[in-house]
Amino acid sequence: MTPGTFSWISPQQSTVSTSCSTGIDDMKKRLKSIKTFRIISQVLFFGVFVFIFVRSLDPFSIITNPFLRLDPLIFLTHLSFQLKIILPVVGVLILTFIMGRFFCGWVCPLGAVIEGLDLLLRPLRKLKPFKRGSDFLKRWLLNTPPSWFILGAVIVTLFFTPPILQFFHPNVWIIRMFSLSASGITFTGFLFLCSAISRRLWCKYICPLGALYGIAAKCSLFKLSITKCSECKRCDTCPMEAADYSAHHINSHQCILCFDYEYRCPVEGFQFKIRSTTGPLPDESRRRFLKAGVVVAAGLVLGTVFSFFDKTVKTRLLRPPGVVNEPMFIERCLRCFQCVESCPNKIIKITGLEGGLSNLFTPHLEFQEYGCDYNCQVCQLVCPNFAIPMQSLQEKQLTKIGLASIDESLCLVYAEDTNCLVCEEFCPIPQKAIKFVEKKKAVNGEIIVLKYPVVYSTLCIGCGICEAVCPVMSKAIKVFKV
Amino acid sequence: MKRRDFLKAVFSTAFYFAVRKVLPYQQSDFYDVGVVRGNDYEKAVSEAIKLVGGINKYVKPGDIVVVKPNIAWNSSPELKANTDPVIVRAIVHLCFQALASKVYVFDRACNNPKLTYVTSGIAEAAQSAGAKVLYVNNVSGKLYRKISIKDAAFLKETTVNNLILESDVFINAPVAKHHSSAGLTIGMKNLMGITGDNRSHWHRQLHESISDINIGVKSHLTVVDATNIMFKNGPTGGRTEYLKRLDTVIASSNVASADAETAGLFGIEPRKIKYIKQAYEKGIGKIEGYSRKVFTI
Repeated sequence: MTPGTFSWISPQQSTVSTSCSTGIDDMKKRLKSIKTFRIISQVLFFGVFVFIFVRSLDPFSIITNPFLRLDPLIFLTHLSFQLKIILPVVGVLILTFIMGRFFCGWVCPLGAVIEGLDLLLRPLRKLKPFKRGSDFLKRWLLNTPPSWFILGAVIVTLFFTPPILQFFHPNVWIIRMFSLSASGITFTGFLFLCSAISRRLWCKYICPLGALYGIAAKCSLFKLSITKCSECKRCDTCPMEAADYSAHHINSHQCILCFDYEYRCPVEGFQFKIRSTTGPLPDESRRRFLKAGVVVAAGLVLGTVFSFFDKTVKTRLLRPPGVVNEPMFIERCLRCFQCVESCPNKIIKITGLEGGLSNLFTPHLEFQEYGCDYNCQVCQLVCPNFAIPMQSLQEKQLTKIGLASIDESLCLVYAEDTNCLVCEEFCPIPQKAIKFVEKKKAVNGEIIVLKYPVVYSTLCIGCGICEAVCPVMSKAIKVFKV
Repeated sequence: MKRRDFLKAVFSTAFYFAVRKVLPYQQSDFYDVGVVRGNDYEKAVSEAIKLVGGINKYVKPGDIVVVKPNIAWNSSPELKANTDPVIVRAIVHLCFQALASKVYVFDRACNNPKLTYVTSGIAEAAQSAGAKVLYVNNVSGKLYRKISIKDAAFLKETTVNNLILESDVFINAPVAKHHSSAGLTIGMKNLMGITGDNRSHWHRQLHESISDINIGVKSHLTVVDATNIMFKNGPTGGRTEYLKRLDTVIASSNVASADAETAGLFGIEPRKIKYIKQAYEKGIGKIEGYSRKVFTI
């Protein structure tokens, strides 16, 4: 395309959109452009995410969120050598080593949301305070983005709990946003603010997953480079600010392959090709890379220092079925709220700050309305990181969540001499973990047979169904952690 | 033929049909309770209903029918904690054969409704037969209406599903199970699923509640699934060794008679079960001395 076509405006086009100065030929060309494919890919993967999220609200869906399974950062911080985790991670890493940070621009559902917000809040970014904020961030953070620091600190979570990964992982946050939890809504507000300041602010400065992909992208096979330049500065719109226009260099650790530059460059100087080994690395970039390395190291050190102060708060929280090893659970749980959304009975609740920092946002069970269904193991099947261990149904039916115990001062039979026995009726254990003892008792001058419920601790798995159905308001039978 | 003979013949025929119309079931050999044994449950259901008058006696063309099976527990059909899906399907089929306009199938499950409906196999069976399956998820005021029951011993007022109150025919399709606090759970106890109350509170006086709700709401036809009765650790069960295979289907127009007959299968005298005894005392139905026919296919 020649620059001349830019100025040519067809009469029909101008009535529809005045700001866009593109011709019909140009539109056709644009439709075939890589950027169009990228946007289709983003929409598609975002659709996949939404589909899986909506499906996970259905009790019969057992699809795990794939975005949390093919995640090298989660693998790196938990080192779980299970085929279901390793295979997708290796696949994504191989692709990254070939193409660079394609995940951020083409796949990441949060990236799609951020890009949508960027488009929406475009007018806000022109306002003075936001522009100043953007300039400030660019000046101080671009060379050494904090995401490197976060990455370093996050990787250290391998050695200690609580994982700080939960505060920075994009795919965890997007599930929280969709589940409309308080933390998710706060985060959405934060994203709005980010978009008002600068495009892809989260991806540029904060996202540790992006930083990890960035490191891999540094040695990727294909790279985007500037071969010719007419110094027209038309391409100066990189959302990641990856391009260093003065040095005609593109920082591959920041480049997310968005192809926004397409058709802007009058000399078609951008080329995406196998990197040349002969090309000299600018000094500036090398220095910057070393700086970044120092930042990662600083993060690692800080994480280690924090790990010495780590005190796991001991709680009596009831965990989802199958969780036997509590410290292991705390370590592996991504706090992604997937089990909370998937539970058909909605008994999995999110722990707030009352459980201490290490239990923040972890799932626990509350049996106010429903118990844990005897024949259901959806939470085990959807857990992306196997924090809730995957068991066979037979195994799950034998694993203890807790133990039910009867408060005799509240129970209708013990306290009010009224036959009730709802808990026994609902007990799903085939042999009945709650049995009854018949005793005769004189009540108001009349001898009646009372059936006293008794919990057999060897059989009870603490599913909480008895607690849910107990007619006493404050629940005469309750499940406690053993 | 003489004219007089002709007229005689015409009038007597007309008279015969008039009598049939006015007193349709006088001469027929129908029984209070029909018991049918056989492997083919679908056939057993239709034969049992035939013994108590045939489906056409209950379902008239254009009627709206509610079939209320026992869909209480999230457990698979072979554990028999819920009504057999084959039996539910057979009943729905019969209703449509009798030209019912709509058939609803629902229950208020004790476990998660969606899981329960699907695991029990009833959702699929009923839908395949053309019935509408309703997931009673939350007990909202829209779905339930308050009724007051006269001469109730405990349950003066309760809420009952609107569809049941508005339907033309209400078919009760329970499964016969052991029940620790009620003794047995068959047809009368199955009506606990039509209420919107907190059923846990009914357990304070369970027997009275069961007989009261049966005074308040009458089922037109009761078809008991006694193909595999659960004689132990009911009503949830959970193991096949708690089941006894009887391959029996019991139909009755009266819920108390059906329950009394089914109690006999467990070897329990109907009078020993308090709510069945109360049903007799309150005049819900005969629990002995009813006409019955046992039939094996």
